[in-house]
Amino acid sequence: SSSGGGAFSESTLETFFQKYQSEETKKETATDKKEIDAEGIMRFFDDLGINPESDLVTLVLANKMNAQEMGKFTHEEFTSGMRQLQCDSMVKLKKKIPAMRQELVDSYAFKAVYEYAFRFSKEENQKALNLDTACAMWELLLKDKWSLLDKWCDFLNREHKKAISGDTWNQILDFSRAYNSSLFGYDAEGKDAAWPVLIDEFVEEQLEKLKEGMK
Amino acid sequence: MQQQQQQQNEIGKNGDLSSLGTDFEMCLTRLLTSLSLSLSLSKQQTGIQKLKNLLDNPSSKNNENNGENNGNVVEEINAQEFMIHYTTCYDMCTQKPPHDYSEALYKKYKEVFEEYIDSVCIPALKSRSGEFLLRELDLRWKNHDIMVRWMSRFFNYLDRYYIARHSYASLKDVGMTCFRDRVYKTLAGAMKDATLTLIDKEREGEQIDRALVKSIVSIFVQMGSDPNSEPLQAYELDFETPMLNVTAAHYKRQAAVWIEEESCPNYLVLAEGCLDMEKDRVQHYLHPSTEPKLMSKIEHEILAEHETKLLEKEGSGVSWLLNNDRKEDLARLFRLFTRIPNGVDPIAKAFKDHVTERGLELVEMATQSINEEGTVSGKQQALPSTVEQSFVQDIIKCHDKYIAFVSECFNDDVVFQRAFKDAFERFCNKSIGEVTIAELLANFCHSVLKKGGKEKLTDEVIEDHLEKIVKLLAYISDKDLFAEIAKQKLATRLLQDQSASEDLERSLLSKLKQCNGAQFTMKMESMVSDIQMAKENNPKYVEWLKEKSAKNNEPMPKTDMNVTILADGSWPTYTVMAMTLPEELTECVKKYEEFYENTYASRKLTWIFGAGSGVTLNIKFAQKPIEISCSTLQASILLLFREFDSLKVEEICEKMGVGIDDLREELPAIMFSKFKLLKHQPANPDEKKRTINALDVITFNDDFTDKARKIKIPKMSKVDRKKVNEIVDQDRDQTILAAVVRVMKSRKTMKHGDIQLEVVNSLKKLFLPEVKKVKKMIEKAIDQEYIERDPDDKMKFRYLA
Repeated sequence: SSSGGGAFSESTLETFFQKYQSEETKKETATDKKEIDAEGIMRFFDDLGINPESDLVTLVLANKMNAQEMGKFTHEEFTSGMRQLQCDSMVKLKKKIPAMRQELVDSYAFKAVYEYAFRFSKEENQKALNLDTACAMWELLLKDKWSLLDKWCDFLNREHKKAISGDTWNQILDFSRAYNSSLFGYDAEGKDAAWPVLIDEFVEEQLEKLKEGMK
Repeated sequence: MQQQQQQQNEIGKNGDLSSLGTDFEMCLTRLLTSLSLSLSLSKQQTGIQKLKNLLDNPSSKNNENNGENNGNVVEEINAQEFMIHYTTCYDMCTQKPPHDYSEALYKKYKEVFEEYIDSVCIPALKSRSGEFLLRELDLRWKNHDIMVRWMSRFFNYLDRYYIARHSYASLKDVGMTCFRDRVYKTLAGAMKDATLTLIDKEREGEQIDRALVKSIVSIFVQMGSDPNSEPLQAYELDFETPMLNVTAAHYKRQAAVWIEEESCPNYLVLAEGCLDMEKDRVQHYLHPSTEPKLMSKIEHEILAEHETKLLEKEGSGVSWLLNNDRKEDLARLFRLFTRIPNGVDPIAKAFKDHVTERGLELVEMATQSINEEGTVSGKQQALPSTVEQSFVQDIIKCHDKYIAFVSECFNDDVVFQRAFKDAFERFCNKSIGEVTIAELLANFCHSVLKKGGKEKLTDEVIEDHLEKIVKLLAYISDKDLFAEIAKQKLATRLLQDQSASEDLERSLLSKLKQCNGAQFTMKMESMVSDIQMAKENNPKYVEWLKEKSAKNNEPMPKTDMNVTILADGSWPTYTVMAMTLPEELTECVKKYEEFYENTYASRKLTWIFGAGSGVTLNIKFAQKPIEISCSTLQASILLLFREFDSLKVEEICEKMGVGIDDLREELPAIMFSKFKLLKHQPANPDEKKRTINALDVITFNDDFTDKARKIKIPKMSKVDRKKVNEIVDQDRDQTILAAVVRVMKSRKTMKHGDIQLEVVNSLKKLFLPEVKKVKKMIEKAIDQEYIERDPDDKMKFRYLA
């Protein structure tokens, strides 16, 4: 099979897909029925040398494929993602990984990955993301980026105990950038009036605690 | 020169002229004489001598006390004389140069005035002062005026040609200028002082010659009407300004004394008196343009300067006036201070504070009385109905009383309407214990609209009460809370046949609709219509039953049943209690369902047995039969005891298919109240009295009796405040969300703060939305994909079509 260089070829891409395609869908003739299942994905990342449990670059890659569901790549998702990356083989894909890792550092590209994570993680028929998953995803995405993350998740588990809306999810990234280490200067009536109510409540509680701590 | 000679002879013949005439004639003659001196000296000598004689013996009697004989002058100079003078002037001006004497005549015309003023007027004026000076001046001015008028007519030919050609000052102006320069300029100060002294005397209560002052004022006015200066300049500078200053000083002194010595109402009477008097003064003898200036000076000194001190006067200030219902004084206070800019604002504030205080007192009184009652009965949930009634009636009285103040004392001024509204809004949004005034108003409506209220009120009185309630509702911000409770109360009245009059119900609804819009009463109106429909529907059902039983040869059901169909969504939500009905009722329900399905095939029927007026049973007790009206569940339980002698509570639950909590709610009324239809044997005798437990044994009380033939078991129809609040809260969420979407739909893109503002504005007539709630609903609208955040500006939102 083709290794390393060589021009991108649709037939090679198809072979690449078939390598991971689930046995049950191999009999299907319609392309929209063909898919890679959880087992195939494990093999795929294994071959790629990436641990999908802890390595965020999986999310970047899933975003390239615009994968809608966890544990499944459809034929359409896989091929269009690879076509966009111009990869028809594992060797080519491996070479792209460092660039994809860079996207996790670049703040603009990261925003896209972050927002994608919400769609990717939630149940397909639901609008909000259940709290446990949300906290786990934040842990993956923001652990090194936001020093108030633990406090935030702790607050949600104590006071909110409900799913997280898409708006709150998206706004948290901006918020984590605006108030990275301290909530000092938060103005709920002025410049900060538009943050979701949940953030207001978090800030209020934290500032209250700070005040008590100072006494 | 022949004519001139002749003329002098004429004058000589008329030597008995009145002195006024003499002054004038003399001048003219002097002029003509002195002119002719250079021409034919000898002939004039006799004429001058004659005039001098006249001057030496002035018949000055007329002069001193004249005023009325001006008219004589005209008669003294007849047409023939006038013609002679005019012709002389004409002749002298129309001769060929060097015999054209126009220029010489024009100069001489002025010199005559100058000479006359210097030699006659000034000496006469200089010797006088004060009022005498003014009288002399008045006379001199009038004479001068006449002299100018006649002289300018004699020399008219100069005006027409010589003066017009050279654009010189007219003869009239020359005359006026002479007077201004020689008399007015020297005497203006003395004139002003003397006039002000007179005005001051009048202010002190003396009678003065108003006609004289008016004449003097008119001199000041006319001295200013020179084309080269501002009109009224002389009047304003030489008289008005000093007069205004003197007046201000006068009232400053006056007010300083009054404010210390007089009570507020007295001060107001004095102030109003002064203002009326000064207005009268201006109209009598000052120039009209002075009025606003004078009034504002005085208003400043006696009103603006002392307003605070006056309003705060201990024991007579504005609070005292309000406390003692001194409407007449308050009206005067308003009338006076409305004259100065922002003058009524402190009064309006005092009024607002006063009304607020009265209202808060009522709230405080009611709160105290529930606290007292509360310690007795141990619960603070509801207000005793007597307190409730009297409180609402007190508020109505308070409203009537002070709205009358606004119209009678304060002329319905907007500032006061606003103050009144503010005050009511302030205390009408307080609550009494846990009870809001919105709830009290709704309860009050219920108490006047339900059957058998304590006092028998006429329809007019009830109408009036309802009218007032709707007015008071305007001050309440939680109108939706009122609407919800009113709706629940209306449901109770309608379903339990407690409404006293359908007309009055409709009247309340139409009043509410008028003030708060159709949306506000929509549900309540449809409830009333449902009842109307039910009334029409039930005979149809009976008809249908009859037909059916006739056709199938079946017996009619033994039990009568009235069904009220409630349209879903309009009525309060009732818990549908799944219960097993006794046979008789089951039969009725089945028959009705059949009828309903036949009539309205597509509609679904859900039975709410708990909501109606209940079931009437005829029970044969040991002593006598009694008709008992009670709830459906109570009746069903009673009917169980036809089969069983005793039942455990848990058995009743099982047989009725209801929970123990339902029994705990329904049983006390027929077991622990004065109507002990059932007997209760607690399984655990140590248990607190009147608690119902699963193993307790219930038996039928056959020994029960009562004086009455019919008994109605009172139904608990208490409005559960917590539940109402929840309902209102949920409704608010929906209303706010709808408002957010509506606002965004019309504006497409909006800033967060603007959405907040618009939403609050669009809803504040119904209730005041909290900022946080609006924010939550904005998020909900994002969630439901009505709107989205602008990706570049998180403060901005966009409508998603």
